[in-house]
Amino acid sequence: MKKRIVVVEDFNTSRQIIKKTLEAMGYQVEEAIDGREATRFFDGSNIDLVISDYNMPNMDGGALVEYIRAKEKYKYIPIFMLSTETSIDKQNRAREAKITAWIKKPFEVTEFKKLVEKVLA
Amino acid sequence: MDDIVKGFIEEVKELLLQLEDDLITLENNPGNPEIVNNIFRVMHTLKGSAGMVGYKNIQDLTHEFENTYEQIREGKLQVNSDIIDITLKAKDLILVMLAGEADDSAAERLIQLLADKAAVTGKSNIKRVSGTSTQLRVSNHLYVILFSPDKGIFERGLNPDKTVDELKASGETHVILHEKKKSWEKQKAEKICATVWEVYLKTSLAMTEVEDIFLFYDKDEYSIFEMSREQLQIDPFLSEKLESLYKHKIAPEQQLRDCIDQLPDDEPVQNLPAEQPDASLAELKSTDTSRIETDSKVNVSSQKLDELMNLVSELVTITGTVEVHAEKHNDLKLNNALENIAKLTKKFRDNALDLRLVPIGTLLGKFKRQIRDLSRDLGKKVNMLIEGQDIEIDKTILKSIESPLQHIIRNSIDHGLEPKEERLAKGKTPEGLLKITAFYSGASVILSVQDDGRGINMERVKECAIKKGYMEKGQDVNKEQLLTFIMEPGFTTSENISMVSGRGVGMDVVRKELNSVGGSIEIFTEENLGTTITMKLPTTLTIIDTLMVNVDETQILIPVMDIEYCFKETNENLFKKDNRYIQYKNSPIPLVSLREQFKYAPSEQNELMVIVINKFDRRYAITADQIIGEHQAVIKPLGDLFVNQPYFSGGSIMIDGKLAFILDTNFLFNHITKI
Amino acid sequence: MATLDIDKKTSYINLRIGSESFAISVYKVLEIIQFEQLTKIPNASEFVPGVLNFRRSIVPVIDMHKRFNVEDTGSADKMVVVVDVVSKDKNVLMGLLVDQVTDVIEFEYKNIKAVPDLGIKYNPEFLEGFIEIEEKFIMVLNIDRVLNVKELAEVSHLVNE
Repeated sequence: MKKRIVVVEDFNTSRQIIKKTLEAMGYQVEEAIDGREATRFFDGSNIDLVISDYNMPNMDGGALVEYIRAKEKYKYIPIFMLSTETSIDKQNRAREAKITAWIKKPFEVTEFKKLVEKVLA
Repeated sequence: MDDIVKGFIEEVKELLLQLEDDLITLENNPGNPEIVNNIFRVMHTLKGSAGMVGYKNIQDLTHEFENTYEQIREGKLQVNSDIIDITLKAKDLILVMLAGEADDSAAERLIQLLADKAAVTGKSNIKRVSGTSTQLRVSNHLYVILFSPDKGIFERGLNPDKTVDELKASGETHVILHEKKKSWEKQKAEKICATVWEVYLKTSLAMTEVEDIFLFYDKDEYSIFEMSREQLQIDPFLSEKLESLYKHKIAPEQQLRDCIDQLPDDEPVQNLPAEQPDASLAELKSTDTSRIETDSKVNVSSQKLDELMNLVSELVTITGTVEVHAEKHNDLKLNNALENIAKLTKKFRDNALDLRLVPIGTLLGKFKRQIRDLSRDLGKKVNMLIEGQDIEIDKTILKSIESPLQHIIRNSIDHGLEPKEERLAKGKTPEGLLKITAFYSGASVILSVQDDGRGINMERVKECAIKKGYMEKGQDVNKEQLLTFIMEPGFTTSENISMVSGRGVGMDVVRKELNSVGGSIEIFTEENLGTTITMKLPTTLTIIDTLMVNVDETQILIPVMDIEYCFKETNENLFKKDNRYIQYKNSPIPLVSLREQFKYAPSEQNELMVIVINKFDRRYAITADQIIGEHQAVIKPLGDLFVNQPYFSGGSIMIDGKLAFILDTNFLFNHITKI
Repeated sequence: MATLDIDKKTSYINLRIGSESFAISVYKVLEIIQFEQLTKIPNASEFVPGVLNFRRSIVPVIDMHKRFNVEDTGSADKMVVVVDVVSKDKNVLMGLLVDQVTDVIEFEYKNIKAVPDLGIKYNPEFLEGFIEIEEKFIMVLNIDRVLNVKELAEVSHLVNE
């Protein structure tokens, strides 16, 4: 069975690039334009990875993580957070954010692939 | 060199004696894997060492036998009398070889014989299981990795196991888990990580590649140090981390050395050139033992620890003396340096003290197996509960309670707990309860062993006490008194073996052992409800912080933890009205003159020092002539001669060799409140 | 301790307490040290004038004048003989405060004569017997008995308890 990745990004071009890259790697990709829309995927079905932008309207990345981690089934799934933020407090510590890693935008595709492969290995 | 060869011959002779013994045992017991392993090891050792001292012929011979016994060990070959016979002949031949009188043809014949009888596939080269021969990758990097993921690591979608597996897959590893209180499996189930991994990795990966394995972890969750096997240079940061991981119980150098030795050598051992007689045997020995000793802890004799304690305490005292003198010089740099020395010394002392402390669980763990075996032997089901395993206690004390505790536990299972049928008839659960509890109580540790068995039969105790002449028939003796009889020497004899003691050792021995370390014992028992034996033990406190005061010419040490406040007061104000109280924080508290207590003449000084003692929130004040200063006292017992002497709980030797006495503030309080 | 061979000569420390001579087997003696200033223990009995630091242990010193009830002549050569006594089944170190350590003498155990029941002012249990050397009588001490810890602990009991 294909691994299922939820991609949350309000900026369409970025989302499409991510989607194409992941599909080319053989994953099943679900898209959402913001955190609020993304919540519908956390309905008990299997999700192997979440890749989300941080700054989004309606429900931002931080709130989405909170939502995900509050659900027993998704409490321990990996989450990548995309951000253009350069401020150290957000970028540096994946720990406080309860996420697996921060990915800085714009990202190198090869580097991005490596991270995804590693976390889903 | 001659000495080395001589030593080698002696050692080999011993090995051969053992070998012969093992071979004979094996013949009668062909399936015994332990014996096969022993024989294999002897051959292996001989092969590895003989060449180094010039016995190439022994090396070649034992090589073949090592091969054979490895196959037997792996179950590929069945041991038979022929093989044993040939091996015994080989043993004889080795003796001849040692004497330098063997001709090569004898060995060749024997090897041929072995090849025929053991059906070893040709004269194949030795097959090593370590995998180094197949994996010819250059694995010349040696890393020490400390991996301590944050406790919430699971909530970041990460599993440390995966990361460690990745490390394992990348080379040869030796992994040590530091699990803290709960097991890693349990931590995983509860999704709270408190484990630290100490990983030794031998790999071809470069540093950056190893770092990549930790891609998702924050910088402070892992540290990677590259090491050189030849030159063990330790990053101070690593050293510090290891020290705190092992709570200073093992030297980092030692730990690293031991663990690195767990990794396979770069060069296979059997390829050691035979023509290298100068390779010392001592070296060979040390590598051998490092393989056998899997426990990386260092055992230190208590005597050495005591000596360390003494030295540390002297260091503390000297530092104090120097400080006092330095103050007079008003040299800022000197004072700062001394302050640092004082801090370090104190740290040193704390570490030294900590060395003596071991968790009680290390002892209780030993009993688990015994309890299991004993209860099975006796056909009783025992539900064992252990609480307070983390309680730490002085090593010496722990050791001294081992046999008393064992005795008590045996008694509980053997005599206390009833067989299943009897329990059921009494309306008890079919399995008996055995509960061992440890907890701190003030400066003591309370250790109790409780069972819910039949309890001690007081009537029988009474009968025995009468027989032994401890009491008269018809005399009214209460239960507490009767129970103390049990601990009298000679009370337990074979005739009351099933009462509480039995098995030769009585409760008197138990009590004596406990008394010798300053402990005490109490028995509570209720018929049909069970027996609880409670031991009160000192945690150690071989060193305590004290305040030294003068009372006339006597130096008295007051435990700092009991002191609330010190101040000066005129003699006149204190004692003019023959007042036994002084005002302290607006309420009167009892006042004791130590001079008066010691029956010395009253002081003629104008001012006296008043020290307010706070004992369990009850206060009293004592007067002394002078305060000399703080002193870290190594407590020395005053000895049996002073058992009736209640003022002092011990003594201490000052740096100048003089003696001072440690005031028993508890006694003094009870004493003055009685007056 | 070595097994006792009654025919063999063994060495004894000859010491003086008051005007009497006593002997203690060298097997019992660890060291003879100059009488220094002892550290007095408050409230200890007069039997125990103080304690001393012997090889970093606190060793009580017993005043033999008091133990034997003889007058302290205020000797200037006072010595402390540190002995190893057996109490119950453990060894205890104690110091004997004596007036003088005179010499080391040798004699066979079999030559020790029994103490007559009468005419001895000391507790006969304290003595193994006596020996006659050059027309002088030397009392051979049963030091384990003299320094019976339990008994001493009782006599050195607090006065005000």
